[in-house]
Amino acid sequence: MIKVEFTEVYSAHKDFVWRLTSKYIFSKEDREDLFQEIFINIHKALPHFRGDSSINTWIYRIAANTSINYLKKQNRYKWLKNMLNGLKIIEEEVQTVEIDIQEFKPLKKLNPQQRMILLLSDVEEKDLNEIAIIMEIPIGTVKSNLHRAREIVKKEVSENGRA
Amino acid sequence: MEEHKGYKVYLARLKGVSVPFDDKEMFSRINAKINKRPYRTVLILAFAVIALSIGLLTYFNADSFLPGGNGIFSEYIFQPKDVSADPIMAYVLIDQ
Repeated sequence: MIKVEFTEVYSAHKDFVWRLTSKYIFSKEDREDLFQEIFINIHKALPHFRGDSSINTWIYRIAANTSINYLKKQNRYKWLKNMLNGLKIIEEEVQTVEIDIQEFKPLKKLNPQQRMILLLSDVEEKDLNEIAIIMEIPIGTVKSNLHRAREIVKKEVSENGRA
Repeated sequence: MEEHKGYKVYLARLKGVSVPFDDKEMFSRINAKINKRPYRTVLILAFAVIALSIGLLTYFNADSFLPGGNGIFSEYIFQPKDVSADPIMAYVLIDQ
């Protein structure tokens, strides 16, 4: 078992975790919440880090899984809220303010997994094998999701002229 | 081809986006959450154990092993007391 200090891990990896989360989630509160959630999960899992993979890959894995689950949970919550709104059980809440950055708009069309795969591949420049290891899915799934995600984003970019 | 070029330009711009990050504030917030979590877990567990115990005792009417217990949750609380067993109340009843 490798002993790693949490503060060291935080200092060394906060930048890339922030870079990833800031492009994955678009409202300020949710983004900060997700960033904190990732490091809480890292803190929880750190005593069990065996060093089988590099710490970078290990942290990418936690960041990717936490982000995907966070977005899925948020989507479920949105669906439930819309349903309750429709049934007039709850009043419409004030929406969280999303930062209006043009570049993020096409990413909103992707599902949680596609969005993560596209960011890891085309923004973080990870190769397909590494993405498969990070996300613990077959390489074929990575390829098909990446292809689909690129198609969706390309369509969005060309339809809007600019992103 | 045009679509491909458009995508490359888009990616370059996406990579260039940087969102400001308040590092100091963030680390102290993470630490606060980490330190707060065990208490929350202990509280939730304690509540769950108490609720489960009451539920089981009530369901199986199994509290008779407790001192003075005789189906306390299902019978004693929900049914009126036998007032004739109380000497003062018995006197009041006889007097009437």
